[in-house]
Amino acid sequence: MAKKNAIEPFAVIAAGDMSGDITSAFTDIRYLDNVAYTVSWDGTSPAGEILVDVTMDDVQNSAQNPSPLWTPLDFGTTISVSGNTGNHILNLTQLGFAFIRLRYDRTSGTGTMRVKIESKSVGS
Amino acid sequence: MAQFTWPPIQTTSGPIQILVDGNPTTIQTDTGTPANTVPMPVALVSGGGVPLDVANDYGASANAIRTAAQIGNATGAADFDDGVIGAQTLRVGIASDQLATLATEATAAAILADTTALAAVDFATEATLAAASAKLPATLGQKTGANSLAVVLASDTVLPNPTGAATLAEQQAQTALLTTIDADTGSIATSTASTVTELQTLNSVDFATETTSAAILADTNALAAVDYATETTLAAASAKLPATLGQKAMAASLAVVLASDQSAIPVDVNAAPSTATFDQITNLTTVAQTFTAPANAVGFKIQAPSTNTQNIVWRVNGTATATAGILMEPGRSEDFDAAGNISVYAVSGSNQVVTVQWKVRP
Repeated sequence: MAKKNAIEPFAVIAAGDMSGDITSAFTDIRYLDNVAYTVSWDGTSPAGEILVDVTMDDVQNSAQNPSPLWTPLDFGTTISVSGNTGNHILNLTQLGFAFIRLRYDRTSGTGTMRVKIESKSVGS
Repeated sequence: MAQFTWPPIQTTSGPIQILVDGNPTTIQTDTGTPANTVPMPVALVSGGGVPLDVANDYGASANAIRTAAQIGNATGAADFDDGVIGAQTLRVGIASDQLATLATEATAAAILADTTALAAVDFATEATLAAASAKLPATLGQKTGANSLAVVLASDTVLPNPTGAATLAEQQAQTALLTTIDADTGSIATSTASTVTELQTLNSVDFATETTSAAILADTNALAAVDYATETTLAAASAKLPATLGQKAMAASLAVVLASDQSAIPVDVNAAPSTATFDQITNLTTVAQTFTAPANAVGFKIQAPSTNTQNIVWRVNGTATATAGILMEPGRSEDFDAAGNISVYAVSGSNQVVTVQWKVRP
């Protein structure tokens, strides 16, 4: 019987304050292959970098993993935030990691960031 | 919006190989050992695909390589337009061994600044200078007034005194002298006129002649030889004479002696000396008092009134005392033919009276 896992789109960052760094909630992708993030913002000349961290540590068990090792993925380029308004889409495929999260490293400016995630497995 | 993909797309392809002298050779660039670099061969072909030989003589031959290239930088293409130099204007670097005589940018900038400043200066034009030149005398040197430039000396100009010229002080001194001379000249003229008048007057005077003057001179010389009495001699002789005329006392009279053969001198025995001088003392006491003899007195009569209560003593030319002098009882009188001051003295008591009637020669 065919089976396909998916996570309906939901906001991992509903209204992030871009006056500082923002770290989204983590998403369990142990049984998923592809992840997509949509990032949008508006504010007053916010500037910074968006990173996607992954880890193999069971971040759901903080007692056992109080300091999980998050590693940012290399997109081959810097995902920059600039301008008073903007948005990015991040399409990640063939993810073999257990957990994933999105992070905003602020450089300057202020604003509000919204991030949604959607994930699905390949196959049927 | 930007799209980011993970994993990032990586393009891979196998190495490119060419046949070099029949041998497969991989094209590569070896930056470590540039000699190992195998470049991609490139050939120029004509429009029909016929390979062309190329020359790199930049247009000298028909097949010379001509490469069109655009020079620029990250901002954009180089600016070849004329006008103001901008950021895209190509700069030229001068070799370090360029001749030292080349001006630096700083120098050129300074020259530009000076040139700009000079351009702003209102230099005189040729026409202006020509007009100004026409107002000046044609040549140097003194000229007539009509051909000379009208000038006016500054109000505070002080011209130096020419060498040898009189100074102001000297001129002022000369002026003073001239003024004095002028005044004196006037006085001289007046005096001259007066002198002329006097001379005219004198001209009418019968002046002594030379002969007369010679005679006077001779008489004068004769007189000069006379032993005239001097003032001192006359003064000494005058001192030996009585000061004035008239009878005087013996001491003031000239001593004379009657001639030994003097004839008899008649004497008037009846000529009585004047007795006009009367004197009296009414308060005689034991303190002596004096009757002063009048001038020309030759004698006196002295009397002690009978009303006296005491004897008196009288003395001529001396002080009478109780024991010195002539005692005179009250009511007595004496005549005395000699004159002199009479001292009187009361033997005792007070307010004794003494009367004297002098005999004075008229």
